[in-house]
Amino acid sequence: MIIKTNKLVRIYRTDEVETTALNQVDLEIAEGEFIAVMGPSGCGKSTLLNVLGMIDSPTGGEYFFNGEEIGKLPERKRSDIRKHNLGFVFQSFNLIDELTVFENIELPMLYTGIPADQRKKRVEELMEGMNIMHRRNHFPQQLSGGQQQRVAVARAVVNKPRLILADEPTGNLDSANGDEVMKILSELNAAGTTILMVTHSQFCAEFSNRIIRMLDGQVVTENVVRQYL
Amino acid sequence: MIQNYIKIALRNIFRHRLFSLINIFGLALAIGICLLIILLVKDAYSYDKFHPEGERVYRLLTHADRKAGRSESYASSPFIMAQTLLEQMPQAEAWCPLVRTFNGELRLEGKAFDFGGMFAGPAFFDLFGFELAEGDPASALTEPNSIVLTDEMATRISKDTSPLGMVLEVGGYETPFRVTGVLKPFAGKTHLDFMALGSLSTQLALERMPDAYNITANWQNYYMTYNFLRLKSRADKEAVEAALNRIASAQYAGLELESRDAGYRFSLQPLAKITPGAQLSNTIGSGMPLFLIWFLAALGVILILSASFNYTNLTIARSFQRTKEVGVRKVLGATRGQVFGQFISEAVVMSLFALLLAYPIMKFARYEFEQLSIATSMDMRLEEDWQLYVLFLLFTLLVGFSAGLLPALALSRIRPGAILQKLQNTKLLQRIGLRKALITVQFTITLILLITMTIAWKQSTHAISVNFGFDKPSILVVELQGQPFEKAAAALGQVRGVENLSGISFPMGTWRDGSSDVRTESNAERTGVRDYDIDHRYLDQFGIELVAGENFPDNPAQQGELFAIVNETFVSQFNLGQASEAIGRPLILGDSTNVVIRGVVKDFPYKPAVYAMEPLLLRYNPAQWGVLNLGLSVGDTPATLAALENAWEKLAPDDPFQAQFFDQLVRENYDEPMDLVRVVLFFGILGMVIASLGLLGMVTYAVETRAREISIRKVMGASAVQIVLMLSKAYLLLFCIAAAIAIPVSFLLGNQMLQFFSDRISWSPGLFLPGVLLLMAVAALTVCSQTIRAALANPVESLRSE
Repeated sequence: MIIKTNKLVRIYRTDEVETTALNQVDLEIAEGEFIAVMGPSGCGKSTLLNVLGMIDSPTGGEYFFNGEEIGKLPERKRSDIRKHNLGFVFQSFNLIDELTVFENIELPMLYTGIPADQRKKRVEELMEGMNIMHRRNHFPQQLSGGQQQRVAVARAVVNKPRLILADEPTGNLDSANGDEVMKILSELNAAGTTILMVTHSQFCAEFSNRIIRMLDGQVVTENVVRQYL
Repeated sequence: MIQNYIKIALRNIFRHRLFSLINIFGLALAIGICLLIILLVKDAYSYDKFHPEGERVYRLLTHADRKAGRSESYASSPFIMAQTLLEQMPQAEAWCPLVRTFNGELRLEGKAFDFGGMFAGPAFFDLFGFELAEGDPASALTEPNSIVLTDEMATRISKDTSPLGMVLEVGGYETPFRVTGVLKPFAGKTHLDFMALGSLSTQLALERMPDAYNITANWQNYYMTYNFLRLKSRADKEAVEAALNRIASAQYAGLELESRDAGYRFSLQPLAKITPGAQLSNTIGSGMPLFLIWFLAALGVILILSASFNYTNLTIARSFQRTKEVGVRKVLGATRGQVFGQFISEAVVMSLFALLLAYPIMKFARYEFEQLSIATSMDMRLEEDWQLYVLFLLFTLLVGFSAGLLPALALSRIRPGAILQKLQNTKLLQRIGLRKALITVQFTITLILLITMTIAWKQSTHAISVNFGFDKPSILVVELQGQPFEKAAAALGQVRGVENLSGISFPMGTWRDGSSDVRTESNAERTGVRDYDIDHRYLDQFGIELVAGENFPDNPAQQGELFAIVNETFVSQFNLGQASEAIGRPLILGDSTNVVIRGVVKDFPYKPAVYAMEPLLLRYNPAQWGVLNLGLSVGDTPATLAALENAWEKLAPDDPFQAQFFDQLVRENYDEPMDLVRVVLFFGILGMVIASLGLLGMVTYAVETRAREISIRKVMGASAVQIVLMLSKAYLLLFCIAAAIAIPVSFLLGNQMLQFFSDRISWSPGLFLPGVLLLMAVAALTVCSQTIRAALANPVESLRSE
């Protein structure tokens, strides 16, 4: 199992209100799976993604990544696991406005200390694959939504992560661009990358091999779309 | 990685031009001024670095304990004290006395050259690192009537040929001097200020003449000699100081001291700590006092803090946009240190941009500073070299680091999951936002500077105007430079345009004066009193009022002194009863001059306003009248001055005409304090500009982020005035808090400052209002410039953009 959670809890507290975003979530994800997480707004989908992506800490329960309990690891250690194993794709792309396409894709490799010549080769390879080579020196605001998301996906996979976490990757895209992104994700999954995707779209969820439905911070049903082989 | 940081920093600077300009300009102003301060401090610490074994050389200081309880430290000390120490203390290896009686005028072939100098002992070239271009250092200062010239003086005297061996006449000395050496240009700056050195043996020979005033064997004379000693390596300075004070206890026991003194203590001051150093009386040359360095450094720190606050404030304000970037970077694997490094790099890049602008600002400020009398009197030759540029760069990097520290810490702390966290709500104190606290601090500091400057300015102008002579602008004070008074009065008094004249020993209202030991009876204790020798015309010419008795009689031919005139404070201090009762009372002046009090004048401020009202003794001794006061008629003053100059040239063709109007002379006393006030004013205005820039940035940002709210309010019926008030009231509140802190702090600081003056201004709202109103007006203009624009904008624009 690449991911295993045991009664995972995440509670947000403000001065007056306490919100349980994740409530005793038990989950197992095997290497190579493509999981879609669905559910109404506020049900805890994104929180689950953030906690599993180690960009948020659980309040209770256990979280094993690749067999290692990471819930109580310090930020530095989690950052280390994150940068070598995980890739993120966001609904709002979250590209850095001050960096060009090339530099945005290159960024994760700067943090893993990959030499410049290797970085260049890998980024160009990805830009070629994503059909954004001609935009390499453009800034995010000069790109269409679809192009921006392709850059974001390229950035997510540049370090060849074992797991991609995608938070509504097609939410800000038209159907043509959305299809394009889903196709890319499917290809990555076919190549062996585990994908965990939060989505509202049944159409997108159909690309996965398992759908997890959430309500009020809990996993309510799990449907196998097609058997993972 | 660094490359990436710098790239992002540069793109951010160019993308957010207004914020960048505000930050860069504010930082440039502050850094520019600090560069000047660094230059000044480096210059101040560059004195006397060229003396070999200078670390073993000390100056002997005198600490005179006054009967009144205070103590005054002098850079000078008795000649004989150092001589005795050298004889008794083997740890003292060498000694060079410098006696300050050698100055005046050098004459060669009918030409006269003013010079300042000292008699120096033969060990001069052994103790100090001055080198001779010509002459033998071993013998140049041994024979009586030998003179060593600086290269500058040598060039003035004899441009084309070497003056070595030439015979020069020196004003006041019968025997001419032979030039035995010409110094090389000094290897560095020195506090020793001289153009010529005479051999000490000349002074010793003069003292052997009958009735000569003795300096070198005189234990009471601690103000004519500067004694420099070199101790043996590994000598114990404390032990030498203990020996000095043992010698003092033995020698001063039973000796009659100056009337104001209770005793003397001695200490050694390392040569390296003379400039900059503690403020001492009777110093040799110029150099920046330590307090001034601290004062300027404190003002510089205030400016840098204010400019850094702008950076911190604006960066934190914009952090909302940057949190996304930080979150993304962290999600992609950036560590906290890497994010911290990025934001620090941005601040450093910003400060390096500021440095480019700061350098010309420093050049301009330097030029202006060099024009101040405080700078000219300190002989500032500010030099730039590569070490200085390294200092500038290091300082700028430090400023960038400090300015970026808080935002970098705060932004790097963001958890990647909390990408939308609003950092601008960071709390410094329980209920005060960090940004608000920083703006309040800026306002407060600026107000304190402006108010204290107003107090200092008003006090200084009060000190000038209160002086009794201020309403006598038409009195010209002529320095007689040794010319007999009657002869000069006859020659200049007949010039057309001169209405009246009088004589005095030193001009009143200045730092110069004389003093006499006074007793009311022979067995009474002597008390030192400031004195002036005036003629019978002086009181009338200056409008000084007699409250009892009479003026001096018109009798310039009088040989012995018969009378004295005193002021009211003198009468009360010497317990002479009422002013009228003091008339006719005898006084003993010095050892044996017996006079009677002929008149009592009303108290008037005869010294600069930093002096308390003290007893005043007016004597009648024509030989002492060194200054001629000429009352000029209102009319063609330039013509009168030209005629007077002509008359003077006939009277004393070798001496330049030295004359100044009395009010100008009085004003000059305040040149240096007024310069300090100007410096504070300059810093206050800079502080205000920097604070206003920061405010402009904050308001612009607030208006931008509240554009939608403003539009909705307008659609709902809010008027432009209501919008402006809504956006401005928060800043008004901050201003009020700043004023509430700044006013009492300024009161305390101003009160401390006023303690230096005996005649003080009284407290009034007028001291606080100008600063408060000025800053308020500038702040209001800044806020309104943005809020009015927002209030008048078409609401649909921002709603549509939403």
